[in-house]
Amino acid sequence: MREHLILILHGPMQAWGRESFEGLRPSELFPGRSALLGLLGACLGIDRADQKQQQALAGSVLFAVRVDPVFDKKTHKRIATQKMTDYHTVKNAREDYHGLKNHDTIQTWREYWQDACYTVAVWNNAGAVVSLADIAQAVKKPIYTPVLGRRSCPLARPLFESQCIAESALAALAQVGNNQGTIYSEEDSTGAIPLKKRDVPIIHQPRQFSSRIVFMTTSTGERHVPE
Amino acid sequence: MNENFINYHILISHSPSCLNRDDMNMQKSAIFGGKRRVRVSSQSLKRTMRTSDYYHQHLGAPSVRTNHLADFQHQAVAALSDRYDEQLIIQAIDYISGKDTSVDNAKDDAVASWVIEEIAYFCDQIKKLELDGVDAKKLQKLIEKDGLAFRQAIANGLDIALSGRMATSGLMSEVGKIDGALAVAHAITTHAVDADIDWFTAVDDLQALGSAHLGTQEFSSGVFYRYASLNLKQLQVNLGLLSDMKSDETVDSRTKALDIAAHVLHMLATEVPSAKQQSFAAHNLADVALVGFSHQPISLANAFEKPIQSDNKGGFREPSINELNSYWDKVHRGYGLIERCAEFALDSVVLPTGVLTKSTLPELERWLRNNGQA
Repeated sequence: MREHLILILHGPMQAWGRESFEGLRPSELFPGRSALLGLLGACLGIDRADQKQQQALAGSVLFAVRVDPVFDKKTHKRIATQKMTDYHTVKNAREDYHGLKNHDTIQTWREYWQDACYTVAVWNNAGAVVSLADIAQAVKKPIYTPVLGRRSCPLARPLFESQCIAESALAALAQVGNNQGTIYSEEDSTGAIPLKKRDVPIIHQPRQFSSRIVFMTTSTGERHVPE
Repeated sequence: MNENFINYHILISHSPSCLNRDDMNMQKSAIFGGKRRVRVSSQSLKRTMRTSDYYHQHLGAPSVRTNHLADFQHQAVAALSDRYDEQLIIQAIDYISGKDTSVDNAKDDAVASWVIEEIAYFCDQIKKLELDGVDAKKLQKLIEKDGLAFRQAIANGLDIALSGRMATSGLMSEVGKIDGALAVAHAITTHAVDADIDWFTAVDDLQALGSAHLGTQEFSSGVFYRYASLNLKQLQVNLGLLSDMKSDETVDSRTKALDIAAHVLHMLATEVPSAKQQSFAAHNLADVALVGFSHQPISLANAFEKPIQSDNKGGFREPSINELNSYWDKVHRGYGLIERCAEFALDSVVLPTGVLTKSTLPELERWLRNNGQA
């Protein structure tokens, strides 16, 4: 048995960055390890330059993320989570594009998820320096502003949901909400499909990432009972 | 009583307009609760505030955002030539940008925000080093040691303290990064919107029949929910009033941050993007401004997840206001949130217990300036 901290990431717009170049900034299906470390780091007040603390946090926590379905409260019908591409120009930035001379703005495209919700289980590994209790306290009273992937994506409810004792991350997630949807966990389980994700921040080399394996599985809990 | 976050919730109803467009010249939109809403991006809102007359009047000149270094260099030289030697100013900009700005059309790769007083600060630092030889590394060390003074120089371009700066080149990529204190959400309508298409012609005065040009333009009207949160401590750190996020606020530093917070409220409630305003003139002011001091930044967008339906008298404004207040109540009860809130509404509305009524926007601003006292 092990303790888990359960967080819920909910807001009208969310963006969980993937590998990207300047112009197009795509969104991943779920918040990756780098995103979650950043979110918790912000709550804890870890500075961008404080590599020691960043390393301490990274070495203390493991994550499982469930991509929750969203339902219309009245009709109980499922609302599809949809991706939106935001077109965005920057003025006073004269930059030439191929075939287009004197274009006086820079164009970028940024992807966002709409009507998305994620339930995240966080647990400590052996030898953790940053405890779940400290993290729970920090998400309730964050130091830097926590956001859902981008500054323009605020939280629509508190991050903190609960703390619970469970055998595994899957069992912990099963205790929260309707337990439907795909789970991406750092903990292996029977029948889970291993995926390679390049989203582990290399802390001493900012903006560079190494790979990890996440285990993709469907939820195994009770069927959804509409609230 | 010194909560770290201020939550701003604004409802503003716009008559037909087209305030923010995408690359297809259509209105920006978003799906929320499975339904299409019209959207004004946070970028657009922030630029509107930054370039407003109100901002210039109350918060001073904003930063200059450009990648056109040669142009910026001329501007900086013009502004600072009575205080510094021209060569020194140019040297400072070259160090900061890591580029040689003496070439024609010198450009940076990315758009960065520049503050004239920041250049002045760099000029001072270079002067200090002149005796034992300046180089970018020494300069960087000096600035890192002197963090507070550096931030105080940036404070002259307050928008950087509010919105942050991503700097990618030269010295700035090491020392110039600022995490913004203000987080602004994309404004979305509280209700579903099927936009209208305006079909228009341009009449040629010298042509008797027909028209010289045909075109279409999407537009719509709507009640927009604007949300922003301000991290008060972050603002004080960015302004050089505190050394870091762990240090304690002083009465003085908090007062300064709250004064800016009150101006931000004013702008969120009154500034409207200028796009297409010559053809639509949707110059509308906020119907509701709800502000709170809180330990967590929480948006009330979910009040409108189920899109507002117009009531039997028609109109989205009143039901949106009621829903916002009722949702505030639900969220605060549901999560046991402690938040000191006050609201200014044009209409007389019944507020949930725990929200103070302020009868005018200036009164709400005063309450905010006063740390939510009286």
